[in-house]
Amino acid sequence: MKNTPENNEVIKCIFLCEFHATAGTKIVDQSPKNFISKEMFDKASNYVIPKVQLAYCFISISLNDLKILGYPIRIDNKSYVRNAFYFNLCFVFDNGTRTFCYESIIKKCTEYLLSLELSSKFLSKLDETKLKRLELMLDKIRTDINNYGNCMLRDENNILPLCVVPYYEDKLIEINEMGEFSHKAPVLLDCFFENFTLSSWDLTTKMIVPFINGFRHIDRIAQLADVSVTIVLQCVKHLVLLGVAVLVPAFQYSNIYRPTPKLKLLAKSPEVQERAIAKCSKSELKKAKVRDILMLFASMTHGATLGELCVRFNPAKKNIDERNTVLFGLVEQLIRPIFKYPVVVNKNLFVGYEDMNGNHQQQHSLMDMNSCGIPISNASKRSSFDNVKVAKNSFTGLKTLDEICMRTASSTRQLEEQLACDKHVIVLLK
Amino acid sequence: MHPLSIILVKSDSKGDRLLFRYPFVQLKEDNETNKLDKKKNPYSISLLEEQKDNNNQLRQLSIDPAATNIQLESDEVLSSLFACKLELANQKFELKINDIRFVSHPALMENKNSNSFILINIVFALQAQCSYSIVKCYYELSKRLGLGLLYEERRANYLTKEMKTMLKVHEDTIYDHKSERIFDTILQKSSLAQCLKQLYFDLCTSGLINVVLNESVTLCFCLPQKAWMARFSERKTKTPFIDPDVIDRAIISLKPYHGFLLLVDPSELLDCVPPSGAKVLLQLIESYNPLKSLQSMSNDSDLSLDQVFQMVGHLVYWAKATIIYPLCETNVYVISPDAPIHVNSPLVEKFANKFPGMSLIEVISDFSLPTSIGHLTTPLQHPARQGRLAQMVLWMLQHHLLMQLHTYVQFMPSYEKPNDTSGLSLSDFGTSPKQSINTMSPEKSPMSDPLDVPNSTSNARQIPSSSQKSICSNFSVDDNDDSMNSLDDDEKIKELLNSFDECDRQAILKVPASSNFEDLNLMVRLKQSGYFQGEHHLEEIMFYENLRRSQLLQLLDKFRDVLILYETEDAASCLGFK
Repeated sequence: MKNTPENNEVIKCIFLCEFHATAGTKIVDQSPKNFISKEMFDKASNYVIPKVQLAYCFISISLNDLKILGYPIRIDNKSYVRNAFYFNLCFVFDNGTRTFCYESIIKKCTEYLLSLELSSKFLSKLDETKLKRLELMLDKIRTDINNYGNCMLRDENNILPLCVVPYYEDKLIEINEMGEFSHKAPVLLDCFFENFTLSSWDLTTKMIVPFINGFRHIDRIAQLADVSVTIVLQCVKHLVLLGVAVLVPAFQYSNIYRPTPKLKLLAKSPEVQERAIAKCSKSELKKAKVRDILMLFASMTHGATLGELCVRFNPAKKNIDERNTVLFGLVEQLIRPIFKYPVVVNKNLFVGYEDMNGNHQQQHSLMDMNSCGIPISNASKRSSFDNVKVAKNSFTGLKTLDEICMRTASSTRQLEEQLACDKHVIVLLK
Repeated sequence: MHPLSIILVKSDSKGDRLLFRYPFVQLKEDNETNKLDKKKNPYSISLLEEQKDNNNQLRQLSIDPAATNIQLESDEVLSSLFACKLELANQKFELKINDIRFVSHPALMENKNSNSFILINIVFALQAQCSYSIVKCYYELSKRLGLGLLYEERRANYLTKEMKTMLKVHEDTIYDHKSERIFDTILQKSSLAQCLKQLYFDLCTSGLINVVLNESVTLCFCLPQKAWMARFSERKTKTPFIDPDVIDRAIISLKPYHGFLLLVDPSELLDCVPPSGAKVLLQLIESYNPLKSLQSMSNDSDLSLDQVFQMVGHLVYWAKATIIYPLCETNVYVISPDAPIHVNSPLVEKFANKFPGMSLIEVISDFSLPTSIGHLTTPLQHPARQGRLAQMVLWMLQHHLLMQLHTYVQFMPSYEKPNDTSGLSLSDFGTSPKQSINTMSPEKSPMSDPLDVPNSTSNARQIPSSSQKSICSNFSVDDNDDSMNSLDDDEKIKELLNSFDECDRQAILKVPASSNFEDLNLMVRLKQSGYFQGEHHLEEIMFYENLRRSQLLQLLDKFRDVLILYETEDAASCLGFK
């Protein structure tokens, strides 16, 4: 799988410096040539060849909008003029770059140079041919890492594979905070299909990709693809980390959405409009109109489910595929979903609607009539009873209705009906 | 986010020295004994926390094992690193060693007469994963400290005195190599050391700093990320990281019709401004009212609008206030998406304490669907009820449980044009499309004349449009012009219609209200001013155009065939809550 680099010139310069016995700290070679001027190097010299105790640490110094990252080495040996030899292979970046991912490359290269020095005094006894070899090495590392994110360095008979390790910590924390998300649906973004070929992915991804349509939730995908849910969850997690997929709520006509401030982009930006027409139209021949799509998004509000909106607008008549339209809106962040959170409260909410006898039911009872005095059919009562026991604990306000539905294997409508009759549960929309 | 250590290094003609650092607990010995223990019993788990029992104060602040690395670096190494070359002085100094990032502003004072110099470097050691914005803030703090010290040095030789005190302690205890004792003594004798200690504690706890140097210079500083995080401490999951950039954007987009809501008691406010700003703050607080707009508060308190904006911006930065639209009956509120409402939330208890007998969950459930106070109460009911509901709404706004929704308008005529499938006209792209995508940024300057038209149209005026279809000048007719009489109504209407694009004109003509001159005039005026591009909500239009809500709503209703309305939050003043 190819690592697509963001910009071409992340590593601005690579240079090797040493502590020369007579001349002091100086640059042995740099690629490209003359990138670091003498004055700039003098400013940083204290930090690239630092005090004894700081050897074998990653030291990075920022000056003049540049960041220099190095791993200074010190070799103690009586054969050297001053009984010790110091050198440092440094990479130069722009000041704002996150350099954590390059540390392993620097370490590997430095250790290679160290081994060369220990075996054949490569650096301390530098002559024309060795300098040439060094120059080629530095050039190759810099250009390959900048262009491809990896480098297979061949030097004489040695091969050194190098690769940039991307930094995923931030995104990982975000994803872990999401908790259990098997009730959400993954969507594959365009970049998944554009930048990678399907055959370059791992086995699990290849197995589940045919079932990812942006509407199915992970549980269902696992069922259809015959892969264990935990593995599918891991796989989707990786896809989200790599930035080729996002998670959205599973598609249902009972879902509620509302516009975000970004909706004005649909009216302003021709690129967004092009994408909208391409994705939301029912068919290739009959295209949807931007105005209709915008009207649909604008009418989404807390009180209207998607189903109600479809009845009102009849999107099919306007050549709009409502499922793809909603998906488009979510991925482009023009709309956002509203989730329902049931919360248990102590107070009896139906005070005032009690039956005439004034029977104040403190606990959830199974009469033939619910506390509204409306008789409910036996069938729905019985099926909802089993679910009640299971679900009651989840009404903490932290779980959405979707999640509870999936766990208790009940349909949204059943659960909503049951909640409407439950006098101790409030459903919050946010 | 909190600093691992504060280090004070000086460099002058006599050489460089690490004068002081805080915290300075020496853990070397404990490490050694622990290692011995480890060898004895391979099954025991060494708890790093046990080693830190030395200093009770430090136990309250959780310190990473990484901090011990600094203790192991000797003072000489650190001083040689931080007593930097003069060429590196007076600019940002940033050095990262393994997991620790050091940031500072080496302040240099050169005395040309005696050819001497003093370089003082107050270095903050942070964890390397700290975000860039936090590093920037620490740099700013170091800069202010350095400059403050140099100022005091010029005025009263404060710095030389303090350095002398510290050096004396270093030399006196030269036989006793435990630097812990040295630093302890310095802490007792030097006011600068005590100042740094206070700084360290404030940074670790609240992120708000108010210290006095040499009893004369006050330094006020705030780490907004930390201050705002303390505000959101009730949210168990996902405390939002408030970047100073987000706050800056919100402050830039302040308008005269905004208001602000204090998040703390007024008595807690005085420590966030230096004494010079206290007067302005007091004047503002006296006229503070969450129901008033900044404009009216500025009028009431005799402060200029500029001063009010600056002070409110300062309070927001210090997490003492938040920007709202002034509370009124018609404001539409809805539950904020990240509001921590669950059965175990501490906010439920807090609410019950403040409003006895009311349950937070029940009250907030009224706002599951967007409603306003006007909807929930009627004047026929007990008037106190409306007041109490308003109090509760204010409480919920303070705790960021509610969010306000505004209505935005987009002009989009519907017409059937055989070739054009987009349903839009070119006149909506008065600016080049690429530019319009990038103008997600709010208005230019809140200080500008309130009648200044918004960004998009002013761009259209500057760019000479090639197409005749773009709107270049204001076509709306002055109502007060007496020379126009009703016989010319048709003429006027025709002129107004000419301001529209050809295809739009068809759509406008279909609207019955377009035959009414006043309605069409107002419509054209508002459209020309750029209000119908989904960037200005109704309240803003009402404020700048001096319209009553009923007038505006009537107009929008009459022209509903060519307009699209939707409700969403005000992105700029929302401080980025997702």
